[in-house]
Amino acid sequence: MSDEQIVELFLARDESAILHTSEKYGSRLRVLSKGIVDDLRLAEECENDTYLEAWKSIPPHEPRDYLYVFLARIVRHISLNICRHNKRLKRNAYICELSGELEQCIPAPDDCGGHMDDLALQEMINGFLETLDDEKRTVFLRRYWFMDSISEISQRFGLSESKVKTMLYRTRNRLRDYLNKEGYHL
Amino acid sequence: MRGSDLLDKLELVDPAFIMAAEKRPVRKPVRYLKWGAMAACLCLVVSVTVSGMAASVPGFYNVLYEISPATAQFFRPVQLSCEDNGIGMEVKGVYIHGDTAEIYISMQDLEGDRIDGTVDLFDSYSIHTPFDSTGHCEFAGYDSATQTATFLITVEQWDDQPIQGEKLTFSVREFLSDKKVWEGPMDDVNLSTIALVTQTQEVSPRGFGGRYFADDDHKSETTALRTSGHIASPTDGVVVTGVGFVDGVCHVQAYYRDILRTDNHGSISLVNKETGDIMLCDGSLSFFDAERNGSYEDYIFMGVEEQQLEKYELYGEFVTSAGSIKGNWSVTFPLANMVDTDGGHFMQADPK
Repeated sequence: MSDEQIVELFLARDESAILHTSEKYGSRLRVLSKGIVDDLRLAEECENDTYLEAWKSIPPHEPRDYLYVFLARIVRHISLNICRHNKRLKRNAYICELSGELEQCIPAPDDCGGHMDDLALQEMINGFLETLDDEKRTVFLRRYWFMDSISEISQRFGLSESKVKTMLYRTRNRLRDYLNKEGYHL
Repeated sequence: MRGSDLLDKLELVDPAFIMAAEKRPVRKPVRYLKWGAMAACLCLVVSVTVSGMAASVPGFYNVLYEISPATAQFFRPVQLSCEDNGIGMEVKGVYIHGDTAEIYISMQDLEGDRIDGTVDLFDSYSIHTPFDSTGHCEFAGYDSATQTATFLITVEQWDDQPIQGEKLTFSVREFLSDKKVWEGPMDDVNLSTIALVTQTQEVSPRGFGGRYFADDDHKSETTALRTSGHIASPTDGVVVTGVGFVDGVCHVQAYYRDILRTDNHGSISLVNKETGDIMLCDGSLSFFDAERNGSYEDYIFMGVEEQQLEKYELYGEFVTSAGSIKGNWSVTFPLANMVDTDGGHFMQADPK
């Protein structure tokens, strides 16, 4: 079934939308979530919560052209929250590690949130990603969007681990410079 | 804002970038850079300053092989035998004729019986030569008395150039042994009473083939049976997980455990119980489980309808192993005719 048809089912409040979504994207969402929480049972919970969240969000959203990414965003968000709220999970340390790496990109990190609205930040992040070549952009997203380990990225792209680390380090520095230049303010 | 906030906000990334990042990258073929001047300069610098380093740092070779295979191979010290993880590797003989080299290498378990007659280098071997060549390695024999497996490596230089005065490095990272073959009817599965799987799922196949997929050059997604059941396990590491129909076409699904470590694989056919005729599958598609360790495989039979299923029984052929044994084995030797005399001493041999 096409994404558009599935979204139509959501909009018509037809519960079979969940079944079709699960059949089409269930395994991919589970794999994405497991990459973050590192626990299959939790990943399945996240997958189910994603369907519920999608049910609540469509409408008003109508992701006819990007249903998978829409669902993937939700499952990523839910999986990240589970890791953070359950501090006993070893995975929490990994999320902290990734957060620490990304903090290097922020010109002046602080403990206050909400200095920049989401739309402006979205434009900046996407603007920055457009400046990268395909490989650098994909490696950056595999690390910080899909939360792959360095070794997974290294295998995926056939690059040495040290090359991946160097590439990420330089990309983070470029992001910091970009945010600075584009007027990221405290 | 802190790093954790930015990690969250990355969910705002453009969907097109996310979709692109989900796709498997096409790996670029390794291209040896034949920049003569660069290689020559590098050879000069390296030969003067870092020949000692080359002898002891594998990472150095990897870099050097990218730039100049010939230079890298030049610095490789001769090492006719090696041992790692209690397993020894040894060069037994080299025979050069024209543009072809045939090399016999043995592997012996010095501590146990991990090497047997089913040993398989699991595509983990590599052959490094200083010249452009094609090469392959094949199992040549097994001596149960000494628990030694012998492999024949054949290397052919391109452009009909004779091989002389060069060195070759042969390396192995892991191998399989204790492989078991199971073949026979799967009596535990009764197709006349089996509960058919009615749910399907879209999967990203890791492979597919057969005439059922003849018109598909590339499939990013296809429909398989929903993976849920455990119907029978004909041999350790293999489970029949479902039988059902997808768009009216019969699918029989099996699960192979931990394939990246065991190389478990096989095939399933249908046997007509009345005539004994064997019906091979018309296609198969395989896809990883959620952990990306094990693999499901749907065997597809186009000519079987649901009401005919009771006429058939499943017939399987499976190859399984206990898992690979890893190590770092590497030998480097001159490409000159030589044979291993008793005691491990080599002598130059004159080919007849």
